[in-house]
Amino acid sequence: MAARIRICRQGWYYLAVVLLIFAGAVFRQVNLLLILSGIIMSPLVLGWLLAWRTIARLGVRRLLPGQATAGETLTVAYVVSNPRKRLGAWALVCEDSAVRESEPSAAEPLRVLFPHVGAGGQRKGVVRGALARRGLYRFGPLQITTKFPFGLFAAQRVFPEPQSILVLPRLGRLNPAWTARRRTALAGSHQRAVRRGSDGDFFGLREWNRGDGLRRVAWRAAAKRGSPVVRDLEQSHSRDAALLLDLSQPGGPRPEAAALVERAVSFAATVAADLCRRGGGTLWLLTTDARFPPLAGATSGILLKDAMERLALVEPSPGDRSAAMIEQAAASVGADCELILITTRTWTPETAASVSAARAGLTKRLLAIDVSSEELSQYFSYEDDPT
Amino acid sequence: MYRARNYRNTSATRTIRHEPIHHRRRDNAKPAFPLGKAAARYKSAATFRRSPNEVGVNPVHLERLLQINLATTAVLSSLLFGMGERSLAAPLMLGAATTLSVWLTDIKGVFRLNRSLAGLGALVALVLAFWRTRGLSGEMLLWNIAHLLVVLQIIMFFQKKDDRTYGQLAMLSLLLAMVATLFNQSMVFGALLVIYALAGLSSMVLLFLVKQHREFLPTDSEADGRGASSPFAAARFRPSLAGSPRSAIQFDLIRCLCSMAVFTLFFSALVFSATPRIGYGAWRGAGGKMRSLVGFSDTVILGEMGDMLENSEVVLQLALLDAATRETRRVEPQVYLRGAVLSRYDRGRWWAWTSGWGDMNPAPPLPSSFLFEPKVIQRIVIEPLDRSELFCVWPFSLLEETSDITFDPRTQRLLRNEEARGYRFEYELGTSAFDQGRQSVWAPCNDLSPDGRAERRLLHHPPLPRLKALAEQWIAEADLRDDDRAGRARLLESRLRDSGLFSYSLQGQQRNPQLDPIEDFVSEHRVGHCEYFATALALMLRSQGIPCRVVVGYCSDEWNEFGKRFVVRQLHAHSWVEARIPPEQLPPELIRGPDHWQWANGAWLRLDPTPAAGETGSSADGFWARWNRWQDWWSSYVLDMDRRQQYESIYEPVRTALERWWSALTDLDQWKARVLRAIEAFRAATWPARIASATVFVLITVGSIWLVAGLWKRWIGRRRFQPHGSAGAVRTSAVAFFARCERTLRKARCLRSSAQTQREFAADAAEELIRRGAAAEVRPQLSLIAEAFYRVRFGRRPLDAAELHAVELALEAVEAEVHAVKRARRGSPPAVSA
Repeated sequence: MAARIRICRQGWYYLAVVLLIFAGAVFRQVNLLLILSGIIMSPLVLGWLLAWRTIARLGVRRLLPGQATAGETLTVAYVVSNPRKRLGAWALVCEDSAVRESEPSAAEPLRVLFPHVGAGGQRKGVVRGALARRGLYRFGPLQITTKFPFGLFAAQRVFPEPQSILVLPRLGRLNPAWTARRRTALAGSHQRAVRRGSDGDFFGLREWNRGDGLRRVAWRAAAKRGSPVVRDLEQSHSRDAALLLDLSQPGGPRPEAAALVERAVSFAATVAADLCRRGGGTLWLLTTDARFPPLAGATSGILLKDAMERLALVEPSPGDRSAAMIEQAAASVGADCELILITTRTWTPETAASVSAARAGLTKRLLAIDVSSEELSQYFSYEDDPT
Repeated sequence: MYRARNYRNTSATRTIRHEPIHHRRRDNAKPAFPLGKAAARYKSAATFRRSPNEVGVNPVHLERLLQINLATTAVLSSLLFGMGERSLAAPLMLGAATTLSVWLTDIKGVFRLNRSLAGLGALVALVLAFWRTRGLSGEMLLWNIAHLLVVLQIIMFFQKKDDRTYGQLAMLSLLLAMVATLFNQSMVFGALLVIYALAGLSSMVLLFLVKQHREFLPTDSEADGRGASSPFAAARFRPSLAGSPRSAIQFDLIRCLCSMAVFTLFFSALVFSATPRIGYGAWRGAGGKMRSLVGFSDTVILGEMGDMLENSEVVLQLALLDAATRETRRVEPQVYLRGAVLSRYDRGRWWAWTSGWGDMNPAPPLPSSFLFEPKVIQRIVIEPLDRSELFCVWPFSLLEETSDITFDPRTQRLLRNEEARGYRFEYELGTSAFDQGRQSVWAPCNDLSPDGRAERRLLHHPPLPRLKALAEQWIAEADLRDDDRAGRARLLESRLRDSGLFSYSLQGQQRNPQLDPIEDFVSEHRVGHCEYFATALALMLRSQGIPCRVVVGYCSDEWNEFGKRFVVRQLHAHSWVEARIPPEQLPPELIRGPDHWQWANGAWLRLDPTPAAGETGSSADGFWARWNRWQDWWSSYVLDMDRRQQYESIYEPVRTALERWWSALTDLDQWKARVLRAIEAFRAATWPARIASATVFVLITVGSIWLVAGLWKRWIGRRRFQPHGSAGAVRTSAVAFFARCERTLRKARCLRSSAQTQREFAADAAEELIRRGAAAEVRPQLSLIAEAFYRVRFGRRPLDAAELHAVELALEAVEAEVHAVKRARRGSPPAVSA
């Protein structure tokens, strides 16, 4: 894209002073003053020329990590290259913006100043910050501006460079009260004890796949074969869990509820991560966002990755879809599956009154967490929350 | 030491970790789910090094440079003003103030005027200046304004400075320099003005850099973390700096500044030359009005002064133009410009005595010399002087009627009116005094009354027996006839000048008070200046019955090569003698010439008995000669650049040259003639010469085609290939990254041999680095870079942004390891090539 150049406010002031002196020199025929006015006129020409020449052949690119986590430090690097052989570039301001796709009106500016990029060289600048909310962010366009050498003219080039980054939900800390609460809930629904360290009965050996935990690697068999193999176990139903995320906002999206939504998603992500880390079961993830079908799979890193990406994009639904979600869960999960409902609203059994009678028993084993209540703080907190 | 193993658990690692914190404590090195090999590598590379720009760097050095630079600029501007004021008070005061302010206010910070106090001080200074300048105008007003500017600068230098203060200081300094240009016009001033301009340029650049960096420094609240808010507040990205502000101040910037300085000089020269002048007569400085003439007077009193001081101030400049072509002429070796004619002498004093016309009533008509057809035009520019006399080469003729010039026939003086004395005055007169490139010693005698009374007065002299005796002795020795007036006059002139009996000196001499000064000069103290020599000759001539008079004016041999004119200074003031020669004794070439009618009343023979001025050593060679030449140049092309000068020295030559070039380029006849001449020359040449010329011709043709094709290809290439777009950037960086890796490894003396593939080289280099103490993580980093290279170079698959990021991080990791190895093994013997 061609460079644009404009005169700055200081440039206008300077031009006025120069014209004044020049006019005085011409009308009074003071030759030395004419020389002086020529001398102070040259910064105008130099400013225009250098700003234009500096910006004309610069290249800039953005280096973004593949993913980021909401609220945690995100490092965005910019590399400016100056292919000129002789002319260096000074005072380059690289400006970028990050826009959340679901909120295109709010753009977050990113600015970095490159004091100097030598001739034929390149320089990397880093902007650190945090994207507070999860979601898909779009970066660009990139603008590079310089007012060198005098700040009288600003030359600018725009590089479209569209690039996106998925910001995953923020992870928090599950407190010990959460484990106790789950045990209590489970005890109420079925009597199967949770035996720590037991992953079920041995089923056979198979090739190692991505997502298999190290604990399942059969080291001796792997040594004999020369390739990694894992023990395949009979699935233990006691670890099956369904995460139901209710982000319904029947009255339409409310700005004041945004923090609650983020907290709910963050809590769900933390629980999902916890379940996947423990492994040994099946995890269902259902949300009230109609765009996404239920997600299910063996708890593993891959599932967690998918779940995180899903949770990163989930949005509050305008109507009340909680009953439909529970209905969907009832149709999908087994009878001994642990159901964790995370909601931004006050949940009562009556909320799920519309669930069909055949599945009415489902609500009895439902562990419902209302993120708007004080209860959540017993189970979940952020690292930087005041204790 | 930026080692991977030391930085595994930094915050950068946590950015891509997704397990709850209480789990992380137990297993904090492993992510909860795999991110893929490449991502894992990127992550470990990301932990290598903290960016140095993570925190804002205080640009104190940059600002200090600016403060020093501004102080220098201010002192230079005050020096410029001080030169015009002829006083060192302002520069010394501002110099001391700026030195103190840089030390006490900027560096130590122990003395700072707050904004209110500084404002109050400025207000007081303004009121005082207003009080002092009431009723003043012109120079005095400007002087007071300049002093006010100095005081304001001093006050502001002791303030705590921000961008606005810096800008105001720069502006005050510029205004002071502007005022200074009205007071001084010397060449040294011009040189200092150029230095001031360069300092000002660097100040402007530094001011801009400081302002720009300040925008990117963290605010106080950001720096101490008070800017943090709730975790779900809007996203926060702090502006950052990619490097230290000091990195902007490098040799590269100094080179750029030098280029800008050169450009500024050329540009200001262009503006100066090309700006059309709207009038004649350029401003010569507020302090340069009404110079006092110290070397010229219409009354000469011998022995009046002690030592005579040579004053190099310019009185006038004389250009001689051909009357027909208006082209400039040069004459050798000098010109005599008459100012006043003194014909009455008594006791050491000469004064003007009305000539024969003065006794007549009514006023005499214009002398007939005013009516001749001039061959040469003398264009004279005379400075503003305290006297009305105008100087010119005689005889002169008026070219046009003007009310500014009058001729006083009683005293034979050309005068300008009172008003014209106050400014540079230019006048043109015709003359017939020049013949064959020299000023003739003869001038028509048309200013004496025909009845002979005036001539008789020119014979009046007091009794001076010693002088008369000497003159008679010389004439007797030469045995000249009595009717050979010119011969006798020339004899006396040469004896006075060349006999060696008399010497020239500007120093005052002891004289015998009992004698007439000229008797003393002739007989006892034979040392004196031109007035003594002229007086002695005039009185000798009169004692021998030859009518004569003393002429005072200027005699200059200072030719300004640049302006093509004679420069006449105060030190060129001179006296000589004119002897009247009757028509019958004139040389036959005058009588028989085309202008013979001019000589009907006889002629004045110019006699200059003063020994050459060169004996005094006043016009030295070497440095001062060169200095004078530069002064001439400065005066001709800078100070005196008015409309005419601009037309003659710039517009006309440029126009002529352009016309000539255009004609040479477009005139087919000229091209045809050139080609024919070349063919003729080729035919006439010998065979070896033909072969040589043909070879040169072919080489030049091929070279030109190659050059044009290269330029065309480059231009087209630039237009087609845009390295700035995303794809272009990716391609460029992808090709370049392995070269960068090789450069980095070269610093650790790991060189790729021609037999090594990139993969082998990466592996060998990794082993070598690990052997020398690098972390084992360097192996996968180098492997990643090599694989990426193969993919790009041979797979023709560009890297996407994430992969580029990974390569970038890997390169940084390798660089960190190489630096660590170099630091650890500094001084060790060179390693074997990898």
